[in-house]
This record gives sequence, structure tokens and C-alpha cells, in this order.
Amino acid sequence: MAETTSIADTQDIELRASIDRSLRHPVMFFFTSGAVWLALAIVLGLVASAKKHSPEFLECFSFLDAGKVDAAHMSALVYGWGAQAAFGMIIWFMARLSRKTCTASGTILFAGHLWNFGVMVGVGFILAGEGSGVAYMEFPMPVWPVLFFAFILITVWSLIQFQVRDAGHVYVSQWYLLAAMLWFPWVFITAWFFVFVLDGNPVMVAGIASWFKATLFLLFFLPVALASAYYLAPKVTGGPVHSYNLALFGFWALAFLGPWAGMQKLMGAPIPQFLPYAGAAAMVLILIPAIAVGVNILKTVIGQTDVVAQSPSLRFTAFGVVAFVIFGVLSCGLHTTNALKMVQFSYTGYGMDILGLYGVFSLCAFGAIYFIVPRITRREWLSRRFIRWHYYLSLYGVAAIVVCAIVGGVMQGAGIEDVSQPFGTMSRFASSYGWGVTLAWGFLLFANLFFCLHLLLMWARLGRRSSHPTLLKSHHASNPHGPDGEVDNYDTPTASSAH
Amino acid sequence: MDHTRDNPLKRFTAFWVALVLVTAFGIAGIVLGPFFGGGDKEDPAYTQKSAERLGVRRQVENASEKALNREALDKALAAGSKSLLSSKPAKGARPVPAEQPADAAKDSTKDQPAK
Repeated sequence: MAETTSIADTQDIELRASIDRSLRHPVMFFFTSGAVWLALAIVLGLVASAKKHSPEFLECFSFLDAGKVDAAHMSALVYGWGAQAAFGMIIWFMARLSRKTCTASGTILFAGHLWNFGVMVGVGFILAGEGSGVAYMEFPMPVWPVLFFAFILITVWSLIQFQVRDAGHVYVSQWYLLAAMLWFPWVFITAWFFVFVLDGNPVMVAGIASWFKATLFLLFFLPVALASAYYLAPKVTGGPVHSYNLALFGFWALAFLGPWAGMQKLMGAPIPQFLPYAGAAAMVLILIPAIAVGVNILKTVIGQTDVVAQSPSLRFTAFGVVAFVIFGVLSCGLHTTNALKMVQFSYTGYGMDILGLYGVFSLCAFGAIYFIVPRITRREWLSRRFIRWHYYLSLYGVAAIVVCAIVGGVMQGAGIEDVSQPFGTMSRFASSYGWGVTLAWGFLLFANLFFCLHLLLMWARLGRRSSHPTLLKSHHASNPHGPDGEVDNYDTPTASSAH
Repeated sequence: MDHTRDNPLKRFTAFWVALVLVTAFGIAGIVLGPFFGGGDKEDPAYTQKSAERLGVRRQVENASEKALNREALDKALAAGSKSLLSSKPAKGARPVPAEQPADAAKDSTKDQPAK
């Protein structure tokens, strides 16, 4: 009996190793090129933020005008970093959960290059002043079909893996991954058609762009982040998900509320009035899935504080889930009718975007990357200091951006609403918070430099050849990582579970 | 490998089903677009309204043209120009908003031809 179990375990380890081998190049390509785009997006974000309070900053470069650099910053962050990190996570998680090796890694790698080419051309056009001017869809019209074609080539294999998986349990992570893979084409094609192809009313184009912006986060980035959290929390702690029913409720709550969000940005515009109110109501109710997911994940890891403290993956993931709960609470407070009137034309929206994209998605993605990369490169992370710096600078950086942008936005909104004051008073209110945002982007730039360098070294297979994962707390007096040796016991509970 | 679920035929079918799924909204958009006026670049309501608005504009322009007394306008302009030409420059009563910057004064001497 014991011998049969041992054979099954060996076969299982071999299968996982073969899945990791089959996906090594595409996944590492997505993560490293995404990290480089993230560094660029942060530099552009720093310049864009500086231009808000000091318009004369770098004014000698016309391609860095405030409008261009702001659009290029968000596009690089969303499509350069966010989408590529999501692709890497989707293809690896789906292959592992469906227990199928990837047979199309060459095609995925080609599609990855195509995606990067599209983003590069799009950002180039934005900086040249040829952007579309539609928020979150700033790339010129011909770039979008290229991106969509690349998306299909990247994700279609994961859909096949899910379809031909061995019969049995469908994991919570798989619900979210499958949903993200099907929701993305829906919001992408719908927005592209209505904004660029069909000759619609310009006010509705603005409305659809706002809908796209909200749903891209709620129906693509967020599900991928939650899939990662639902995978890593039980995997690293070694326990089951706290409540399957709560997970089911959280998933369907997001699926039901997500598609309604977005139009609240057009409150007061000449569109049917139920649309902004429906959007605002959906954003208020996002608190429900946020609490459901937050309680479920945190209850899964609670009581395992040592594991959370040691594991980089779990620490980033736990912070990402807490950020989602904060997102839900702030969303609930900032989308009431009175609050919307005040913050509609202020920095607050930017603060919420960064909280969602960086605070929730990116931190969960970092957690996933710290888990996946040692498995596919068969090397351990080189430096726990780099990881720690990355963690703390990200934590403080993103918190500072969100606080400054949201509080500054509320002050700005109050200034706009106060008709007894000249318009300049509002600018003075906002400008000091703008300095705070610029400083915070500086923190994130440093954080990402540590991360990017570390990841590139891992890609070059210069990581540690050790059977001990790099944890954030030391257990060995002589060597903080334990004795070095060949990596040979991945996926045994002792070595891998604490990542 | 569980051959009842994973075989080349199943993978081939899954590939095409997945393609149809992810492009379903695009296909729906192409099919349904023309029914919602998507392919129609000229909005008839707008065209009709613009004809009306152009008519109103023509009426306003004609009325303005009729109301304009060019002779009186020329006379008034000529009188104004004459008095402006005949007047001599004098110190104004309003305060000067700011002093000329020292750098600008230096720069202005640079452009003068050498004596």
C-alpha cells in the first residue's frame, strides 16, 4: 500500500516538473518583460505626477507633455505589466490545476512577442501625440486587433487544458481563471467595437470607455489576482480553503456586480440617468465580494502567522487581499451620490485605479511570481533582502499614493464645490498631495528595481542551487538559507509549501 | 493520461469551441452592428437638423448684412483714426503694473547696431 502511494507521489512530482518545464520560457518571458514595462510605467507615472504640481518639469521634451505621459503611464501599467503578469499566471495556474503539460509554448512565446510589439507601438504612438484620447484605450485603433489576436494565441491553450482535464474537482482558482479568460474578450471586443468601429454618439463613447476601464479591472485583473490568492493561501499553509460556499458566493457576487460598474463616471452627463446610478450602486456593492473573499482567504491563513511572516508569496498575497477589502470599503464610501459629486473630477479616481491595479492585482501577482519562478527555473531566489525591500517599499509606496490621491482628491473636490473661493485655491489644495504622490512613485521605482533585477537574475538561472526556499526569516545560524545543494525535492511538503 | 477525456479529437474540438467563445462578441458585433446603425456614418437626424440650422444661420447672416450701414461705419472709423493720429503721446494716469526686468533691458541693447 505504502509502495503504491510512493509510486503515485513520484509520478505526481514528475508530472508537475514536466508542466513547469513545458512552460518555463513563456512564463518567464511574460514575467520579465512585464517587470521591465512596470519599471517604465513607474518612471512615466513619476513624470506624470510631477507635471501635475510642477508643470514646467521636463517641459523641453514635447513627447513628455502632461497628457501624453499620463496616458502612456497608464497604458504601460495596464497592458505592459498588468496583462503580461496576468498571462503568465493564467497559463501556469491553469496547467498546474488541470494537470496538463503545455504543448504550445512556442506559439505562446510568439504571441507574447506580438503582444509586446503591439504595446510598444501603442505607447510610441501615444508619446508621439497620436493616441486615441479615450481613457484606458489610448492606443491607436489598429493596435487593438493585434493585441486581441495575441491574447487568443496565449490563452486558447489554457481553455483546451481545462476542457480536457482529468475528470474531478474544479478548483476555486479555476473558476476565476476561466471567467477572466472569457470576460476579457467580452469587455475588450465590446468596448473596441463601440468606441472605434461603430460610429456612435461621442457621449456614449465616453460612457463605454468608463465601463471598459472599470470592467477590465473587476472582470479580468481582479479574478486573476483572486485565482492566485485562492491557489496560494491553501497551498502554502497546507490547509483547505476556509469555506467553499463563501468562495462560491464571492465569485457569483463579483460576476453579477462587475459588469454594471463604470458609468458612474458620467454622473450628470446627458445619458440615460439609470446608467450612472447603476454603476454607482455596483461600485458600492463591490464591498460584498470584497468581504466574502477577504474573510475566506484571511480565515484560511489565520493561525499560521509564522508561515505568513516567512513566505514572500503569502505575505504579498495577504496584503493584496487586504487591499481588496480596503478597495471595497473606499468604493462603498466614494460612490454615494454626495461623494460622487465631490470627487468626480478629482485625483480620487486615480487613487482608486492605483489601489486596484497595484494594491490588489500587482501585489497578488508578485506573490504568484515569488511562488512560480523558483519552480520553473529550478533555482531559489538569491536574496531575502531584495524581497524584503521590494515588499516594504511596495507596501509604503502604494499606501502613500492611495492616501495622497484620495485625500487630495477629496480636498480638490471640496475646493471645486466651494464657489466662494477662486479656482486657484483648489489647485493649491491639491498640489501638496501631488508632491506626496510623486514621492510615493519614487518608493515604487526603487521597489521595482530590486524586483526587476532579482527576476532577471533568476531568468539567467543565476539563482541559488538550494533545496531550501528563500524565506523572509532565518532559521540557520550559519547560512540563512540552509545548506546549499541541488534542487531535487520540489513539491514535497517540507521544501515547497512555505514559499 | 485519461484517454476518455484527453485525446486529439477532444483537443481539436476544444480549440474551435474556445475560439468561437472568445470571438463570440466580435461575431455578434459584426452581425448586429448594422441593425443598430453601426455601419451608417451619416446620422439622418443630425443631417436634418443641420439643414435647419444652416437655414437659420443664412437668415441671421442676411439680416445682419441688411442692418449693416457700411458708410456710417467707414465714417466713424475714419474719424477715430484721424483723432488717434493727431493726438500726441502723453504720460498715462494708470500705474505701470511692473518694472521692466533688468535682463530684458540688457538684451534690448544687444540688438542695437554698433556705432
